This record gives sequence, structure tokens and C-alpha cells, in this order.
Amino acid sequence: MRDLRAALFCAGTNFRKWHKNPTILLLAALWATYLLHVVIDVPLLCIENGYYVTPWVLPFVFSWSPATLVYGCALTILFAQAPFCDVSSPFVMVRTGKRAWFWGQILYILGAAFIFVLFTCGCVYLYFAPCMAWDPDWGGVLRGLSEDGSLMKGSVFSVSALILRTYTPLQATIYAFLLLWLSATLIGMLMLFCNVVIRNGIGTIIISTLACWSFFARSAYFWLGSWVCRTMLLQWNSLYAMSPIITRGVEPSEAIIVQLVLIVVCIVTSTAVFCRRDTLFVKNQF
Amino acid sequence: MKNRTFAAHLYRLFRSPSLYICIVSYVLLLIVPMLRPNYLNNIVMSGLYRAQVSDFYFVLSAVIPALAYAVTYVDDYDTRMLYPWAVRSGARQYAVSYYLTALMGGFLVGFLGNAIYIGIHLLLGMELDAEIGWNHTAMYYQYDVIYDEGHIALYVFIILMEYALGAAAMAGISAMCSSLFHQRFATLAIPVFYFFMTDVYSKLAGVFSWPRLHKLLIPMYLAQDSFYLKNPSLNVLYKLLTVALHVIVCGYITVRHIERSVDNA
Repeated sequence: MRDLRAALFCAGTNFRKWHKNPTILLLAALWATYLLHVVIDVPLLCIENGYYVTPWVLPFVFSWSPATLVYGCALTILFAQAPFCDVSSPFVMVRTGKRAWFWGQILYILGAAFIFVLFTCGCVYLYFAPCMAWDPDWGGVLRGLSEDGSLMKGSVFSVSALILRTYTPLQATIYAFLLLWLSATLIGMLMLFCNVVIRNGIGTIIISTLACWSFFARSAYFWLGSWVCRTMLLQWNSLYAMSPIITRGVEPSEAIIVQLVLIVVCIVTSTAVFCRRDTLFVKNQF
Repeated sequence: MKNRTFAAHLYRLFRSPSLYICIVSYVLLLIVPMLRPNYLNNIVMSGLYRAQVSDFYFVLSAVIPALAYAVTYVDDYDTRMLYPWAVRSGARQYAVSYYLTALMGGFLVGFLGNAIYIGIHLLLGMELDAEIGWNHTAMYYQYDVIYDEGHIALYVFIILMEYALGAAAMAGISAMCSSLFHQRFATLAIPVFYFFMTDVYSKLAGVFSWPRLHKLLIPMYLAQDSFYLKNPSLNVLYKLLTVALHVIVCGYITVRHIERSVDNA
């Protein structure tokens, strides 16, 4: 119980540093602008024609192919300094214990990933707010867009007919939220694992490479074959991005299980390594 | 001393692996549209054109040119190397040399990246350009006239220069951000932010009848934009004006802020 309280204190300390960190504020502004750039065509189409869109838009937000790249980069910046050591960390570690401090960092990653996803959802729903109406079904706009993409020529927002056919709106939205949170957490945990187990700073390189690979693989799977789809780990952040994977037999539930297993492996390994090693100091990279 | 500072910056630019990594990344990103099945895949210029209208163009136009050299000022500021530089060469001299080198870094990435891409594909035996419809004979239809007259080298050179000048202008914006915010992430993020915001504004302006952004304010679409369809010379002149406007404004702000940073140290 004492350890849990100490871990929560350490996680809270990291969150309290956010309002003084210009990188976080800039990242929030950039991410909000990026989301606006992605979705703006749909609210404008609705406003122009007097249509209303249902709240089940979340599964399609990452339909744009470089979304994985931008998403990976945004999370790389958020978690680049994992395990978030600074000048005060040794003193906090002495008071709370090394293990409790490290669990605090893990809790921080879980919380930060959750806030990131909430922020994403908040921005998306805010942009859709002027033209949103409740309907338990997908609604005319999403169905129309899935059948005729030319309605929004030049737009980066597209709706997959496969998702509309395969899932109910609520099911797809819950899957989309879970996949987003788990993939954000996985990126944070992989970063922590790489920085602690391999070498400080290597996490940024590995996650950036994974993000670039996912982006390239999404374009190259026509040539390289379907096996490539299974290697696009960061692509598993949304149902839409998973579409080519789903059609090749990977279900979102499998993706969730694989991500959960990877997260647990990263947590266990990095905790074991960190607690046996001398304190790490990660250089501020951004 | 004047030339030595600039030469030292150039030495850093060419000795740093960033420039070469940026050029390779640029070429790799240009290849991405060619990986997707398309009937234009055997035409070299279609790759350039499709990259420019593609969804990842912000990386090509805003991020990679800045990574070549514009972020170096942040390293100098963080490691306090700025002050010995300023003492030896003068703050203004350092700032002007840094800014010019950042522009050159962006220019080289844009020019060499596209030139290597074109060269590789021509060596593979692909066709340079082709008719794309709407009564135009070339992908970059604002230069139809030059292409039709058989000045192929000039046509390719103008397009390469346009990409390179666009990249240089964006590198100039990044250099300005780096002098204003002293932060690596801001140097890369703010040009991307500018890219997205101009796009969003253009869409909003279309729906709500707001005044449209003048093309002179959008250097990232330099090669895609056409000011005068039938007059290539005027078109080139207008584009040079766009770049000059950005380079002068951003250069003035960059130099002023670097001087102020040194004075306040």
C-alpha cells in the first residue's frame, strides 16, 4: 500500500511538470491541428449541405496513411525521455525506493497514454460538434462516404465499407478506443524497455524506425505480400489502419491480446533490469 | 573573418551526416507513391507530382529540409557554443552565416533529393514525362511550352529549382523558429503547424467565403502552384518573389533574435 502511494506520487510528479514543459504544450497544439487537418472535410461537407454525422467517427480518424507516422512521432516525443529521470529523481528514489519510483514511471506512461487518447477523442468530437446528431446506426453520412469517396475529393478522411459491414457502431468505437490506448501504451513501454534494457536514447530510434516501417509497409504490401501486414506493429492503432490486416485474418481482439502481452513483457523485463542496475540518467532529447 | 564564419558553417553542414541522411530519406519518401499500384508508375515525373499532392508531403516539404541544418542553432544554444562563436566572429556574422547555411541545407536536400530520384528512374529506363489530360502534355503543365519545344533539360532544371527553393524557404522558416524558441521540437513542429493551418484555412475560406490566402504566403506548394499558365518566365519570376519574400522576412527575424540572445547572455 505504501509502495502504491509512493508510485502514484511519482507518477503525479511527472504530470505536474507538464504545464511548465513547452514540448507538451506544443505537441498538444500540433496534434490538435493535425486532427483538424484530417477531419475538417466532413464537418464542412455537413455544414454546407445541412447533413448530420453520428458520433461513431473515431474508427476512421486514422484512415490517412501517414497517420501512423505522425502518431508514432507524437508518442515518441511524449515518451522520448522514459524513464523520465531528472536532477530530482535520485532524491525521490532514496525516499520512495527504486521499485516504487519505477512503478510510478509505468503508471505515468499508462496515464499519459490514456490522456493522449482522451485528448484525441476530445478534439475529434469538438470538431464534429457543430454537425453531430445521435443515431444508434452508422448514419447516412458515414454510409454515403463509404460507398462514394468522391463526395470529398482531396480529403484525407475516408470511411471503410469493411468496418461498416463487419462491426456495429458501438463495437467499432470501443475497439478503436482500446486499440488507440493500447498502442500508445505499447509505444511508451517499448521506449522504456529500450532505454532501460538496451541503452539510453535507443528507444527513440527504434520507435521511429517502427513508425517509418509501418508507413512504408502500408504502401508496399501490394508488392511484398501479406506477411508484411503482420509486421506493422504500430499500424495496430486503429480499425481502419488494420483493414488490410483484418482482411488477411488478424482480428482486432488478437491485436489487443498481442499488444497486452508485449506491454506486460516490457514492464516485467524493464522493472527487473532497472531494479538491479545503478540509476539511469536520460539526456533531455527534445 | 566574414567568409571564414560562413565557410565554417558550410564545413559543419557537409561534414554532418544529417545532410546525407535527409537526402536519402527524401529519395525514399519520393519512392513511396510509386509503390502503390497506379497506371502512371512508369513515368518519372508522376512520382514527383504524386508525392507533392500526397498525404505525407508535409514531411518532405517541412520536416526534412529543416533537419539538414536549421536545427543546429538549437544545439549551439544548448551547448553554449553560440557564445564563443559570437565572440570570435560577431553575433551578426554568426547569425547571417547560420541562416544562409540553413537555407543552403534545405536547398541541397530539395535539389539533390529530387535529382537523385529522377536520375535513378531514368537509369532504370523509365519515361520522363507524359500527357496527363486536360490538353496538357506534361505533368507540370505550367511548363508545357518548354517541354513541347524540346528543352527537356531546362524543364527538369526549372522543376528541380522550384522544389529546392520551396525546401529552402521552409528551412528558412525553421531557422527562424529555432532562433525564436531555442527548441529542437519547435523548429520542426512549427513549419508543420503552418503547413496544416494554411490547408485548414484554405478549406474554411472556401466554405465561409473568407478571403483566400495569397499563393505568395504558401512556399510549400511552390512547384505545384501556377501563377501564369502560358508564360513560364513570369511564373518563375513570381515563384522567386515568393521565396525572396520568405527568405528576407525570416532572415531578418532570425538575425535579430540571435543578436538579442547573444546580447542578453
